[in-house]
Amino acid sequence: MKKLEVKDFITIGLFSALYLVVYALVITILGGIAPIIYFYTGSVMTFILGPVFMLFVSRTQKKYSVFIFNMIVLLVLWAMHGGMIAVLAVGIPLAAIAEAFASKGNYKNYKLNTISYVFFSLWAMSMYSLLWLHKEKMLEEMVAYDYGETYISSMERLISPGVYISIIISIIVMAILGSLLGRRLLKKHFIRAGIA
Amino acid sequence: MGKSNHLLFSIDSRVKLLFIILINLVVYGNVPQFYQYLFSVFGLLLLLNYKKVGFVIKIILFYLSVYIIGFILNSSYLSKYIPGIVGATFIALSFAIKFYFPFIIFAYLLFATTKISEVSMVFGKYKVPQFLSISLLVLFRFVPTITLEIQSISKAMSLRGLSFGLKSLITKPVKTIEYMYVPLLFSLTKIGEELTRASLTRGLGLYKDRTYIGVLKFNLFDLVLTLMFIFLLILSFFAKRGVL
Repeated sequence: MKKLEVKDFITIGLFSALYLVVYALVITILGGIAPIIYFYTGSVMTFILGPVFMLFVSRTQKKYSVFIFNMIVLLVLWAMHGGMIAVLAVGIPLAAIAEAFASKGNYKNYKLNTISYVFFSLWAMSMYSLLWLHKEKMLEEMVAYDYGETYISSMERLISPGVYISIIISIIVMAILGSLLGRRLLKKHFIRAGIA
Repeated sequence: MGKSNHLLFSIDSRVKLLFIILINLVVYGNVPQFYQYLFSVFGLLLLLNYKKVGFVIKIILFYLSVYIIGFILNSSYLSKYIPGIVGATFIALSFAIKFYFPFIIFAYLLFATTKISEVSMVFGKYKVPQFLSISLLVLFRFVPTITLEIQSISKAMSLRGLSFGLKSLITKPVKTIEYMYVPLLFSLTKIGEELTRASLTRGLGLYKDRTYIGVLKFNLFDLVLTLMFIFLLILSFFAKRGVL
């Protein structure tokens, strides 16, 4: 397999720019209107970004391309979230796993690419880590400010391991659906046009 | 060098990066709220130095509005009418914004006040490997271009009765996504090919150090700011232990 060249670095840069622009767009569309789905913006975004990943993989097909793509995206997201270290701490190991799966099938095996995309997008669970880490502090503050029983008890139910697991599962499901969509778009448009 | 974008002093981009790394200690270290506010004020003052008055006003108003929502939900009278889980989500969101507040300020400081040429200079000085430097520079260069592309595609599609909003995303998600991506990805691959040819012609692929016109200097102000930041950090950790 060929090594990565300048041409591929430019492709990586372009696709990560696209990833981040779409990411920001989805956050502004969803977050502004319905805060109740705040916890699931990560999974919606994963679904929408599926085609970007699939086209990227089919265009480069070189060793370490997925890892570098993921790392660039994570670095910028890390800085966009103001240097929240959890993004990198969770994301980089997952990126290595994603690379391993994609390279096992020579970046051509559709099923392995799907698994790779699942690991690629699981970094999104780190976005919400702050709330879970600061749960005690939040509950203390709610008691101190006299928020009332109903809210405190429902807060305790909301910031629970169960909800966090549901976030992770929804990301996985949406990643699989997103890569299905990506596959469909590839077949319908890009392979026919000769750019995939 | 053109018009300066700062009032009193310019901050070295490496110092901004250092701030972003150190602010983690503040937010994850769970220091007292008062010190988190101190860091936020510090960041806001630095932003004022960069003439970002609009952003400062906006973010303060945003923060106040979060407080007002919290205050409204606080009254137990409303909890009869708003279901507990909805109220709790709002409260959780307001807490999230509260935690992220110092993050948002320092991230904006890094992104909005650093020039691409400066970043490229830093990359050159520290001999950052090509896979990082080229990808990141292309990324920053193309974010505005892609935003423009998306805007024009969405205009063209709204002419045909398809808008990229929340409504169409819910009612016909696949169609919306497809109609956005296909033109976008086509134009993007074309841009990528053109850019590759242009930059290879200019010798981007050569393994030789590039030269830069600008100067990269760590001046007195940078030193003072860094020391102030570290001093605040030490102070806040002493306060957390209960010494102060």
